[in-house]
Amino acid sequence: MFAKQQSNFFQFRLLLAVSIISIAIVSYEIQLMHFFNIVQWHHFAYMVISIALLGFGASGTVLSIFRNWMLQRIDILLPFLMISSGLLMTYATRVSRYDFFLFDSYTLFVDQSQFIRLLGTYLIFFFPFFSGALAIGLIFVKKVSNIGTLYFSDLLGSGIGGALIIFLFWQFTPQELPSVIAILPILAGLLVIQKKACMYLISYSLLCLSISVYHFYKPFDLFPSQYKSISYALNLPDAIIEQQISSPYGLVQVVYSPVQRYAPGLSLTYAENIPPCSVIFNNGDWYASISPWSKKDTSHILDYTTMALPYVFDVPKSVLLFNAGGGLEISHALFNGAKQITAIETNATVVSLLKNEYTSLTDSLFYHPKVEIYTQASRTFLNQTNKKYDIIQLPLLGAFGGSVGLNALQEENMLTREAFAEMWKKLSPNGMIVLSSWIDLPPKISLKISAMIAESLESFQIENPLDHIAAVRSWGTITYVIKHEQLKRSEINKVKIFCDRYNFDPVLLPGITAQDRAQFNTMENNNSFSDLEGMFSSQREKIIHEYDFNIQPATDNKPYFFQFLRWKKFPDLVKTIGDKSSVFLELGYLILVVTLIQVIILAVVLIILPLFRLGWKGGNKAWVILYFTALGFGYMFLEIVFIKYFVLYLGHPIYSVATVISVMLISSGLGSLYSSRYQTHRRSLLKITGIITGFILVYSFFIGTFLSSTVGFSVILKIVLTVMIIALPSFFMGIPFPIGLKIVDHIKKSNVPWAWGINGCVSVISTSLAAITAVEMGFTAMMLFAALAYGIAFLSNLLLLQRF
Amino acid sequence: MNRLIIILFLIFAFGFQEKTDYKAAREKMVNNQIKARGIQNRLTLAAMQTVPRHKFVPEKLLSSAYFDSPLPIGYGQTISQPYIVAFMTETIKPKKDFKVLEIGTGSGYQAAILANIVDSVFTIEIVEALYDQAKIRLNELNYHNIFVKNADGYYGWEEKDPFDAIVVTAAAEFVPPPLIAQLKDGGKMIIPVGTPFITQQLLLIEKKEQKIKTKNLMFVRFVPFTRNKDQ
Repeated sequence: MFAKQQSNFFQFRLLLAVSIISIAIVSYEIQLMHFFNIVQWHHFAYMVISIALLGFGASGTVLSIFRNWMLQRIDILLPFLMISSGLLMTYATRVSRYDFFLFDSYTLFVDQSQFIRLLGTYLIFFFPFFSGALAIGLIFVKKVSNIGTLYFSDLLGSGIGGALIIFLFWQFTPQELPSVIAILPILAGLLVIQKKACMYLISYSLLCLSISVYHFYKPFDLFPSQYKSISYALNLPDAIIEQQISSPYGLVQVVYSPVQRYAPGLSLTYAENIPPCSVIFNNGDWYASISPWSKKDTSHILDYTTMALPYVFDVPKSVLLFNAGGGLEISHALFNGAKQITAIETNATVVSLLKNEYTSLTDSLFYHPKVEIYTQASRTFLNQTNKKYDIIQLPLLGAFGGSVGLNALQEENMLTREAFAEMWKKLSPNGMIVLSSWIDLPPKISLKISAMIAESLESFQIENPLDHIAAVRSWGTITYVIKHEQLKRSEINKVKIFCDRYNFDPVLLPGITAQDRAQFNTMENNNSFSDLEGMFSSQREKIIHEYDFNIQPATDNKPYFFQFLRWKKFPDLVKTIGDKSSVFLELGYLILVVTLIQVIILAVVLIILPLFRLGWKGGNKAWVILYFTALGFGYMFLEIVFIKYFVLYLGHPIYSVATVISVMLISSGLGSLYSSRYQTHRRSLLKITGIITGFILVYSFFIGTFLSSTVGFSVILKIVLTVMIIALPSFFMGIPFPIGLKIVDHIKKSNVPWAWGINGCVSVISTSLAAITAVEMGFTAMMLFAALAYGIAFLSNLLLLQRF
Repeated sequence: MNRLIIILFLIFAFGFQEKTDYKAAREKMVNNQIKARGIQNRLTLAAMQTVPRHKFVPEKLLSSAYFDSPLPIGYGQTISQPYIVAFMTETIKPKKDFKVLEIGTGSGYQAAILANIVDSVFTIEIVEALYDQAKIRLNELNYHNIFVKNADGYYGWEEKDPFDAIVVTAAAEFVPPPLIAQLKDGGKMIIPVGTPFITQQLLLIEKKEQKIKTKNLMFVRFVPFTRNKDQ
């Protein structure tokens, strides 16, 4: 029997197997996020993965109910579950692409048949996690006396998994990755095979291994949603994918079609031909266009858009362009005589494409002596540069026709008040910040931009902010120029001439009338743009408060510029435009809320179900539920808020996710290992949860300031600081769970899997809840909630039986 | 024999029932979704009442054909909400002698509505599969004054210009210059701006004495700001 085989070598194999399967589960989870991001959108990834991760909670439920039966058969079940997890990983992604399961989340609220497909998708992705988690849970229940070391192996593996997947993203395509990751659980299963049914299990593992290898060489089709930008592009005549590169930054694809063109909000006076161009898509979403360019060109397409506004004032000496990877804004600046152009692009793959494959199409634009390219995060560059610029320009915001709220949960670190203040500091005396956006109706983006500018300029003690601003609009776009100095009369005249020439209208410009605002482009309600002025008046707060959408400027604490949904006003929206249409206004956020609701329902069921078997009373159940719920919430909230904080600090979400997951889990693993030194005593729990609560409280008040004051440090120093900041509390956070489980084991053995299941369920709820908290209340609030959760864990120990 | 009679009766009854249901659904659609929202143009209302919308939607969505919403037709495209179709038609102020260009045939529904009112409709679809489907459908429904072409709408239909009106149902991020050139002086171009399933605004372009003006028609109305009287 399993329990009797306590040889050191078997113990080692067991620990190794736990680590390996944990590596696989975390890698697979992140890989799935990536996969759903490509075929759907990242909100839908949350939706499916939350359910899939409930596999952890469900494994606790199943273990609670069938504990004895499973423990009696652990010799066979353990390797079988691990190997099966690998097999299911290979097949889940593949089967989800079969026509029967192929669901389109975009039409979830209009096509009821999608719900059946969604249910099928849930089931498909639930089983690989359930199978793997059941194997881990089985070991935990069986060897609870050794839980510190086992939990260490689990967390160590998860930490390694978080880092390993980044490496794998560079090496394999999204279609190959499931087969690659699936090999790990199969190996873990092989490690724990014992004499009983040895030949069957080895044959089964070899069969599964062969299946993984076979499918690695027979990748499946991705079939992205027909509503993703890339699907539209690929429907165009003679469309071809010219380039395809997979990396942690995403799946970059370049599509060319002879009928694909890019000229955002082009002036209606433009009478020339618009040349076809290649378009870069990242994870199936439009990213940038690569328009042909030559030094000999006599015109530039952007000169016929509102984005030419900054160049009507003067020839700029230095221009700073953000997210300029496609090169169009760079060639535009060169065309207008800029002496020195600094372009920032976060996606290294995009820069590499322009420097290699597309260098001749763009006449070696990225090697032009006046052009400097930096591959780093925009905020990091802003913090590090000492230069001053005549023009600081952000990319075109929003999407043609609105973005249906798909970016609502995306942190936009360049569109916060703090980012605006940093840009302002980097302006030369006559410099200007340039912001352009698509016009959306009802206006949301333009009003939020105006509110941000108004609040920022006021905080800089600018007396008459409107004297510093010129904003013009075409039929489709609006461009703001915010000058460091007041606009001169000659400059105002230049703006007016520019507008007349291209059929644009000034919307914010000193001395203009309502009539000037609507010479060429009128609106049914012409107040829409005169209302922008209201943002610079004493009425701003009132307007923001009463508006149907959230137009409060974003801050570093809540950097969700594209989050416009106001729950209070949503019923009005439904009344005005109907329930089906209104969901499309804020689809992304609503999907997250739906996710949370369904996860809560399922989690409650999974937590309550074992009680029918375990009984409702006895075993200190009130403490078990409170303690493990609090731990689950606290840990996940802190992990997620760390990821969000470090996106800005480390410069890219990928670095943040990899660093936080790895450092946090490995440190907690070490904490868990160390936990064996603690006595399974109530005092130990009180002490450790008290320390953690204190740590998080201190962090809540100081982390924001600390990170913003050190963000300009060198990369090495920042990495050292990051590791220290994360590792310290994480080490302590690894201790309460194993000690808690040991106490549960002492009180009532059969409650161990239930406690493990509670923690799993709550962790999943926390993921969606943390995302909503971040959007609604900000990062500091998330930290405080994490502290509160550990505070509750601390207090819950008072419910613990006195003998502990 | 009795059984046969019953079966024939049921077939007849259901067949008859189906026809009347669609007609009734169409009438309801016109009254509740279109007239009630302010569409008054007599020709537009008559066309909306006549064209069998259910013939333009995918079979699996037949039961939703007259719903107050757009429906997916594949390739990321939709058949527009009935109200949008009516609004766009009314906005170009169609007359019997009009020659209209449509960019983006899609299902062919908008072209069919226009063809019930104007002299001729020239419609261009870039997605070959949609073009094939629409051509067959419009032929089957005997729309002899609709001319369909599988091409890039960017260039318009130069051989047939100028047009009294241009209806762009598949909006791009720019207005193709050739379309402006092919619009008759005094002509109107209408473009819906929005992502699939939600058209938030319509852009009306008018050409008068070679001057071009635009108007954003926001048909989705929201509660305006509450402002002080002195503002």
